[in-house]
Amino acid sequence: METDDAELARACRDGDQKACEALFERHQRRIYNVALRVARNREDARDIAQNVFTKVFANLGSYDPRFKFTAWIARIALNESLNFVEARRPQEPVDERWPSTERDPGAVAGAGELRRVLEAALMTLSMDYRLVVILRHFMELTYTEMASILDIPEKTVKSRLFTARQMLRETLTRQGVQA
Amino acid sequence: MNSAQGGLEPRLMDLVQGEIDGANTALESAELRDLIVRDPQAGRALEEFAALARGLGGLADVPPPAEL
Repeated sequence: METDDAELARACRDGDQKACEALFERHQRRIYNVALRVARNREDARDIAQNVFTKVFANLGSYDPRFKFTAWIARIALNESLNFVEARRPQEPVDERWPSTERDPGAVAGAGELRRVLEAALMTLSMDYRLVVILRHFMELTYTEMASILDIPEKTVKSRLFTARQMLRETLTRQGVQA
Repeated sequence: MNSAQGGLEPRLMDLVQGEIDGANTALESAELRDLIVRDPQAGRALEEFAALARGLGGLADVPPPAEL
């Protein structure tokens, strides 16, 4: 049976290197993907993900195992991503390299038409809408967990999520792609 | 089932979204099943949004760089 996150976090905090590695392996892809869709740049996403795990391992003592580890790490990832983008803003325009199969061939290797259109559509959403989609579908958080992380009422989470999905659905329909 | 705006009725939308997010109570799921039996459009809406949700979840599989 797979060791749960809370157990791994406790072991990692107590110095078990293998437990730390397991936590990293288990969550690195999702965290990188969250950062990628906020920062829209693969190098920035890599840097953000590295910062996230540095903070995670430094702050494991503050993780309360009564709550889902995914929600805890999602909060860190979101804050880190948004802070990174905010700090980048005065120096340079938002890099829109992601998604671009032209400049990054193979970036979405094996991607079908649905994936290509959906990825592009997701990135056209304003940040408020994109964040709820990312937290729900990438991190699999509940409405309550998302509301806590975003510091907005649960009904606003639902409303934004519903609207975001409607917009994505309309984009797919306009482009003749079926989900 | 269509509203005056041409979209889905708000109650159906709530139930469909709640279902794909695993947030519906047993009672709400039963209400949705009942709507689906009475109106095929409700079933199509559920299928469409469930497929959209699967598609969105699938976007999270971009591999991180090896040096992460």
